[in-house]
Amino acid sequence: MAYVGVVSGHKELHMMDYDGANPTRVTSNNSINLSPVWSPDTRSLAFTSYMRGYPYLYRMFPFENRPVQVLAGFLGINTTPAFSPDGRTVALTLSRDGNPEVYLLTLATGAFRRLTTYAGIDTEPTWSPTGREIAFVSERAGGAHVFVMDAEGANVRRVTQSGFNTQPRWSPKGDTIAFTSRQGNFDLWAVSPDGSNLRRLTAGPGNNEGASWAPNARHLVFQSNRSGNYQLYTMLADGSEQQPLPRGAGESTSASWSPRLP
Amino acid sequence: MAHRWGSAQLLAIPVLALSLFLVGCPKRPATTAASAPAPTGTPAPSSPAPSSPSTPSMTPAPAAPATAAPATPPRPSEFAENANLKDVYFDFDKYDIRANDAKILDTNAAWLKTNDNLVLIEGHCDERGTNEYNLALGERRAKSTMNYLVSQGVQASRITIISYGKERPVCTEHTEDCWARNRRSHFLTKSR
Repeated sequence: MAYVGVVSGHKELHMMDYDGANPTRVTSNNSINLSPVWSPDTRSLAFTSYMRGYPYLYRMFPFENRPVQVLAGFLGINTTPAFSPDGRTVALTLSRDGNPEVYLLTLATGAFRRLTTYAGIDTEPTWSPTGREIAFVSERAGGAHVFVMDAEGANVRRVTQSGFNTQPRWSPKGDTIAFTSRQGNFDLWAVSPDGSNLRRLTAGPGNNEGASWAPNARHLVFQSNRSGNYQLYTMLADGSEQQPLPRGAGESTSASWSPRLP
Repeated sequence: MAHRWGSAQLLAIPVLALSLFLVGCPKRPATTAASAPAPTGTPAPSSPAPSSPSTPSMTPAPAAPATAAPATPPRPSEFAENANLKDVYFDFDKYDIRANDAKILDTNAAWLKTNDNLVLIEGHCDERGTNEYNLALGERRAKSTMNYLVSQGVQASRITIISYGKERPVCTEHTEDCWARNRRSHFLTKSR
């Protein structure tokens, strides 16, 4: 798993085994590093960092002696990377055109293509395992809700109907989207991509956020402040068997469960 | 502003940092004190990245070609606090300028029109909600603030915005009062 850990007040990227063993820091830029996500081949992590002052999107290769790449360095935010299942495309959020919108970056060419058009916030894309659809968060219906669109940006349909819903994460099996909902505190919920079968996965204590699916779609890792500061927990896909991972020295958040290692 | 870069630029960006590759243990991650230069043609800062004490052997970043790059904003660290410019605040999950805050922005705009500084507007959020959404929300708050100043006659070319989401709170208590103080646009300036 990759995750964000706080070191001397800075948010640095870390990696560890799925059971919390062998935590290792992988960035040391004394900055704010956020939202790590694995590429499907597990060779690289995309993430947002303020290492050069502004929130640009980068890609690093934690197992290789390769340079960090800048994936997007536009004015405004360059955030929320999500690799397509074939690894060739990164969905992301850019505000270069005036407000946060979802774009696709073709890695082979460096070409960006805008998918959404709304005057408010569109952000947090997550791919279906087929690569044919993308779920994302938009405030176009008032408040933050999860929507699904075709990977070309068409056929947008609303998935969540109430609450304040962010962090959609499409399961590797394709039948479920986990997300974070604010209804009082923040808790994890799940819903089918067509909006049916809404169910609650966590019910406190504290806030429970930032789910990431295991590659077998049977487990999720998430962050909770139920015992004080934010730490990582795992649970089964139905919300049962919630277990803390070994505590780090500081806060641990934004876990990304890697695909199966080759 | 649209900027593209090709695969050669994207995939062959020179590195600033020394990555430590742990030979013989391929699944142990290398520790990367990395700072990559922004691609040519982006509005990234053109000044060299600061060297890190932990990576003294870093190669300085090549400056972006002045002819290709558009006007690049200074790094946020080049801006300084300015007591003449007051923060404005926002309701939860909102980024519209409230009536009382518009008066504050009128005062800020008046100062900016008589003092030809560059200004950095930081958009901030409270601790509730997710990092990712709050980065977008902070961006909208900074942009709303910028738009208001521009409407009052401040040149847009003098203004840079940055969202910190919920990453830089001024208050860390878990109370409504504290959250209200964190939902803000904050101003810093830099002499031209």
